[in-house]
Amino acid sequence: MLMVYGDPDESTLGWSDDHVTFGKCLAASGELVSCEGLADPVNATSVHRRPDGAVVTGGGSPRDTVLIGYYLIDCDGFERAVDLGGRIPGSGSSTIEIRPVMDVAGLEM
Amino acid sequence: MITTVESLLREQAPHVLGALVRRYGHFDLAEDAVQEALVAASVQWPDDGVPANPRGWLITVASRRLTDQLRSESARRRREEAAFAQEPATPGVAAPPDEHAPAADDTLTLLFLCCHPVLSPTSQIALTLRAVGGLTTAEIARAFLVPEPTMAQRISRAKQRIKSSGARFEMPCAHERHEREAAVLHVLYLIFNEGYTATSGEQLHRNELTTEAIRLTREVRRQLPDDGEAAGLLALMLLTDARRAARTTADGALVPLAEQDRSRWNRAYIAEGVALVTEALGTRAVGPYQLQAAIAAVHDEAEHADDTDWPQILALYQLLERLAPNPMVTLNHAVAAAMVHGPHNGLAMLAALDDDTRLAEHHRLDAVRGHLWEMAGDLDAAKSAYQRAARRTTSMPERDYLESRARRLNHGIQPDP
Repeated sequence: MLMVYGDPDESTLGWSDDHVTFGKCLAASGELVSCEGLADPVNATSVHRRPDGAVVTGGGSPRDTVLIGYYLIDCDGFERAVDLGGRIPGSGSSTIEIRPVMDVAGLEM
Repeated sequence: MITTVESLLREQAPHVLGALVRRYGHFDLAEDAVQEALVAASVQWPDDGVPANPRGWLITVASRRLTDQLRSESARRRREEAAFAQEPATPGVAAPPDEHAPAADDTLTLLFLCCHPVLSPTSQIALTLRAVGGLTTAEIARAFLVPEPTMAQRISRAKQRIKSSGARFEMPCAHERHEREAAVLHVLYLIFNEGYTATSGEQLHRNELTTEAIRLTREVRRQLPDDGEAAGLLALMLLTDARRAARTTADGALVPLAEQDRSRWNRAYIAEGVALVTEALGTRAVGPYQLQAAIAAVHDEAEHADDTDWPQILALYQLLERLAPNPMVTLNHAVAAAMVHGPHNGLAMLAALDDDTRLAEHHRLDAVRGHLWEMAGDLDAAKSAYQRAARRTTSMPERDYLESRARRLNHGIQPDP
């Protein structure tokens, strides 16, 4: 999973046409599983679970960086993921976090 | 489960594709045409019955699709463009059919093409399963847990890459033959592993990959009877897959080798694997697959975990370490050393791996360390090693297993002697 984070104070925050194009490139190379851009955090809603049921508590919580969107990819190893992460548009001003997805398979140890 | 018609089609797939490519060239278009013929057969045969000459039927239907395609306007354009990029495999469009070429060799020639070094491993795997294995794109996508369009793109890119690289449907020349054979075996090994790691019933589609890998490796071994490594890889797959029923519980939890119910192991696979590896080791140049198979054979031949011939396993790992050194081998070597000479001996070997960037952050290093500390009786060190490993693994069943090991120590349950 390639997660794209941005600075919440930046005015141009958000998923751009370049991001969409990059997603299409990943689809064409056969590496894209899915990708989505997220709406601005002003649209966020938080839900907390209490013993007496779920309670909606208004907007998102304040953070230093916010998730702008993600690319879920299936590629040849970690190096290729880093390579692709470095090519995500706007990654100069935003941060890309790469995390492996948990696998439902495994080997005995 | 695979039906009779399906398995017949998968068997025929490489021969039909081989016949088409030899006759018309155009590997990429021929491969599509064969897929269409296979799909047509899978729909018609169960109702209408299997034709008397299934391969002839498939070749006829696939040839018709291919020639239609070649005749169509867009295909002509593509053909003209391709003529600039590469020489056609046969002069002209329809060279005289080469009916006398040995059909049995097609599988191997196709494997060499699909495992061509210009392709990335994931592309080699996908293309091999479709072009040689005769699986549909949907089946391959399901097995690899990716959406079908992703897999379709991967296969079509792989075929484009083969086309633009100028790789041909022919046996590699003698001086690269060895390297190319190793690449084919490696791809089959990857397909097997992909299926073998499946741990729950929902993942039957992945189990199918082990079956497919064994089938294809059998075919390679039949065609390369003098290759000790082909025999070694087949033996390794059989000896590993023999434990499949015992390696997980009904709910998908992993059972370590020492705790598996050995009565559930597949005796026929063990017997076949042992015979294969014994013969290969006695007569052929020794290689890493044969040694790994020999190690698996020693495990499989032990009636109980306590009967395992660890000195023999240790000797085999020493050989393997010399022949094909890599950190995973060192890791397993350390386990064997611990079983023979005591846990501290194994732990000392692991210390050397701390500086190895390939493994220093790998969860298996900590998992093994946990086991060895547990053997040595240092339960605190064992617990924290298991916990570190549990955080690092990206596999849910492995994490659950490691957490349960750590919890066991928490509750003061004494480890097995």
